[in-house]
Amino acid sequence: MIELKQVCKSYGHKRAVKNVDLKLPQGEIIGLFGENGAGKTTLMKAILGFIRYEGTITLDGAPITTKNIARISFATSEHSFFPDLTARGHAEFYREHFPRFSEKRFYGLIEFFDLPMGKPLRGFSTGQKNQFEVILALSQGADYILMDEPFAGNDVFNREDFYKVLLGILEPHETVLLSTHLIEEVSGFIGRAILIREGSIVGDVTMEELEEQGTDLMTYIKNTYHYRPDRVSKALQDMTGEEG
Amino acid sequence: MKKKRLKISRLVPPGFDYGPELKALCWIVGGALVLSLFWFTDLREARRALFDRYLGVLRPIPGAVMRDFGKMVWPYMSGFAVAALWALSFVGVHYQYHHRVSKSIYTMKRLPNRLELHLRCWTLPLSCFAAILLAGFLLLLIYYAVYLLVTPAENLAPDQWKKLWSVIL
Amino acid sequence: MVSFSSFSMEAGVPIYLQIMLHLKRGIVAGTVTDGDELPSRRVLSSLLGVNPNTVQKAYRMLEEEGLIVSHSGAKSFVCADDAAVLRVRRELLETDARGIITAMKQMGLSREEAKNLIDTYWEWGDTE
Repeated sequence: MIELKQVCKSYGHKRAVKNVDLKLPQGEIIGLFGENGAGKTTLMKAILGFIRYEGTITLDGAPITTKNIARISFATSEHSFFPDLTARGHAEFYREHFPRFSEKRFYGLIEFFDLPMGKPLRGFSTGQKNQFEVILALSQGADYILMDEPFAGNDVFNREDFYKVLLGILEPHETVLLSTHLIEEVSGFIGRAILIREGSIVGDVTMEELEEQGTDLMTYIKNTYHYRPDRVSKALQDMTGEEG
Repeated sequence: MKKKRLKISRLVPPGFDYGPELKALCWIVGGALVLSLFWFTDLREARRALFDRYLGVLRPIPGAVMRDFGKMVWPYMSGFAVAALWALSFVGVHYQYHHRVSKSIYTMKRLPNRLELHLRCWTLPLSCFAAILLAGFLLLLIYYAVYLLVTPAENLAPDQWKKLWSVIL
Repeated sequence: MVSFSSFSMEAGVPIYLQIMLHLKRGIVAGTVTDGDELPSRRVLSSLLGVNPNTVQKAYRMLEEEGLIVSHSGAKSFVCADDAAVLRVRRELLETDARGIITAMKQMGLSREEAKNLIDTYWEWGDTE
């Protein structure tokens, strides 16, 4: 389990993450939702140790260091592959650095998405780059797979394919933390939703709880964000000068 | 046990094409070598200044002192200093590489082996830096030998080697 | 292998219930029989695009109802003898009947009107 306790992060005067308490157990598919700049990326970067932060983040009770960092993988829309390396080259690099790298899964997924093996990554299309980025994260042999907006630029069929493959290959011990704005697309298969707004966790709910309450994710999110359906008509009224 | 072959590609950022980098460096070192050869013209003139021609015969000028080796050779060796610093500047290029096109720095930063990133950024530039300095130094030794060979003992100023270091440092 | 190709998701109904219902309807209709193998948790999750834990929950509850058995945690098989088929049939009928009655009551039908309606439409669809 990854556990965040009172995690804070500021950039200058701006507080990007405020007092975040979070538990991410093994074997869950978790959606992380929030507007751009709400702190989704900052949270993931804190877990991975890319940035300094206040508070504590532990993995099974131990701080995240070189000893256990291989248990966490990361896919990002910024891409973290090596642009001049081929798919095969990446497999070699990952095999060398991550003892639990799954070649079977890697080559299986490469084949499924029909990605070229001997071409440097910079020559891939945006969609292919995203696919490859996620394939690496899934093949690393990690227990916790963090994905930050991994499908920006992929078409909908492509994403659907990906979701199905993801569900088909995940082992019961693997956890996925998926940050995305495609809430409706993923609402069918995530098991839990975490809502972040202005650096604070404003909602954390399992789909089972929502089912029991007889509501759905979109309603929950709208309620949490105090979304007002009359907002649009009110704005129009204000702009056109018509009295209500 | 089979010895693991050390490949240059393992000592630079993954996928980085070090070919152009090394090629450019070879040209600079070549240029530095050519530049250093011009020192011989200085050497010839300095030696000639120890003699004067009287009725078509060269004869030593009494009390003439040969120009100092260090002061004479140093400007011609500066190409090697430039080449060495150039090689060292690759460190920055290598770190910067992990931010180009993608952010592969993220992958490097989360490797269980924390040294990998620095190893791949420093090894090649530092080796080149050291190799160039060593080559320059060996050349300096050879030139010094030539200097001693062509300079008559009576014209040689003392502490040449010591003076060389004061010029370098 | 139990087929889920005709499965279609209904909004607002818990997915694990829908999976359970699909299997039960299959059992009653005879398209699913005793000893049929079920897709693995992962395969079904991928097929339907739903959370693996949801499938797990549906399988667990079906197991509790005695309609499927899992061998050594891996493969699951339908376990429906004649008595079980009858039981499921009655359960589904009751549920469906309750649903129809509720709907008719909401429309303001009297008991007599409801009976007449059923009589009127009883043969509907038989000729097709």
